[in-house]
Amino acid sequence: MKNRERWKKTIKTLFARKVSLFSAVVVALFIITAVFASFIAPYDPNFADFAAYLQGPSKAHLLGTDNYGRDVLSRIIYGTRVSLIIGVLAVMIACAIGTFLGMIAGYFGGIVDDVINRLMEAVRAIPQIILAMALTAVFGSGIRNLAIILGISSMAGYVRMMRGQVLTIKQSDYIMAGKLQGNKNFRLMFKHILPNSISPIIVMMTQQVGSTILAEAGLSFLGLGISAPTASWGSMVSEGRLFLLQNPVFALTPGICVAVLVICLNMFGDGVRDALDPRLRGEV
Amino acid sequence: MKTYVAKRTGQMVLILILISIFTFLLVSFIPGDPVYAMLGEEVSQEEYERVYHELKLDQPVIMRYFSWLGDALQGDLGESTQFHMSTADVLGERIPITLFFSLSAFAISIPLGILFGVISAVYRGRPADTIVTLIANITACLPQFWIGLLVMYVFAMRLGWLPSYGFTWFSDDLVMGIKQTIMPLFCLALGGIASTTRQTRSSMLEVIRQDYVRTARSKGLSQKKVIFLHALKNALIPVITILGMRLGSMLAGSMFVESVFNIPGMGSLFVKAIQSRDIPVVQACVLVTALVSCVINLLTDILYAVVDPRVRYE
Repeated sequence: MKNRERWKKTIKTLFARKVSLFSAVVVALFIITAVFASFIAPYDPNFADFAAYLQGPSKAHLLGTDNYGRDVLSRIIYGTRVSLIIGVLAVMIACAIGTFLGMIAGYFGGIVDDVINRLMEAVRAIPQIILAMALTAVFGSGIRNLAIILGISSMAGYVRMMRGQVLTIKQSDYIMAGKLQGNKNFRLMFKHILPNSISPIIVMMTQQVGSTILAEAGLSFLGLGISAPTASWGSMVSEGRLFLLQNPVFALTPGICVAVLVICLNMFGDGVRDALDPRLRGEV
Repeated sequence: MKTYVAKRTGQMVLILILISIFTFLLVSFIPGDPVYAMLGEEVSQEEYERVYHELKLDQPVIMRYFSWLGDALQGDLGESTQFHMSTADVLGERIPITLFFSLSAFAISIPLGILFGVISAVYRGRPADTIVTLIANITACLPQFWIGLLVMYVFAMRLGWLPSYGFTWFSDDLVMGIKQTIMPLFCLALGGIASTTRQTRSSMLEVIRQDYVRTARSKGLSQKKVIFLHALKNALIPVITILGMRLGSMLAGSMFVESVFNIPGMGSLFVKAIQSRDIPVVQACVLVTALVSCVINLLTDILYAVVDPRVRYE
């Protein structure tokens, strides 16, 4: 009961701030666009009308057409899907693996902790996007692979955060009590430690979606992510840059979409962070 | 201090060994036959045998790792499958270009970022702060390649002030070199300025609230002295710790900038190598990047220990 009230209060604090409310609305619009892409898009994103290639914005094609005569607006609408799916999936994968590793590292300590720590330091030593690129060389691209690759390359942060959490929670009396009752290690971890670290996990996840989407756009721009003919924002910019003079809208608008979505996701993430922080909520 | 440096160096070597294992294993991760994966399915029997033997696939994996590592330490990273020359030679021409861009962008962005961060922290809540924070937040979310295309469209294609691509060393043609460097360097530095600004601002705000800053003020020191002599010194400590990451992100960002402006650096080489599954070059690029960022991390850690003695005694 008390728990439920706390969540209610958190959500209320979150949406009391205009910035958070605004960014939530924008993100929701993007999600709706992604889900109902087939109803919203005026054209088939892969329909090539060679007679109408590289046209500027007009009534028939609001953002013009690309080098195959495909409608840019429709492709951007479908691209929303790719970005959001990869962003959310990759964050979930990173969170699942990272949280688990961080939890066992912090809980068992000793050699387990050392091994996991050294491995994560090695992962962190390679810049995220370069690690992701090296992995695409091996695993290939496509939506599923990209989500896994981006998930793996961004999991180190979760490990570090969760390890710190566990080290603090482990000291508390209720964990000791649980141990004395004869609870198994994994039960303690999943039933008691994990639920008590849920807010930093949520904060980290909301803040990571944006940077993951940015990374996906980057990989696709370099030609290592989503490949033709699937529409994705990054690969559209990459195709469009050859035709900057003929139709600048074609190359530049997908980038604006990335920026708007990422900015709103980050603002929303900051809002969530502040709403979940009891110090900022004025409770402590 | 000596033991601290020795300990950190030891850790760095360990990390580099782990990374070298990972890079080495990249070949084995490739699904299917590694020789086919590297050369394509249409190789002659002799070619197949040669590469099979060259990769030492007839030996156990541990032996292969050590002989690969031994070669790598001597600067022999195998033969590039797309250029048919030694990987070290291919990289040798390109690393200086990428380092030039990364290091100059780094050198530009750190002082500027600190300056903007201090300005926005000192004028907290006033228009100057709002503008700086807003710009920094937006720039941090803009894809680097997009900024590159935008400035290229405006300054090269519309206005015609700058060449839209290419790279020339200053020593070969100074004017052309500068002209070609401005846009890529701007794009690369922008992200660094934004994140350094945000970091400096938040740690400055933390420090300004401290008692000793109030003491400094109350004993009548000028605002300039309080900010630059007392507050900034301590506010910079957290900024130093992320310098290593900054340089790492410069190396990563350099890939996009090189790709947009067609600069023959390590970044564009890396992209090409991945597309054509040129594994020796991919391995070499990952190793070089990891080595550079590890060394920078080590240097920042040492710097950190110098400015904050508490770290040494941990």
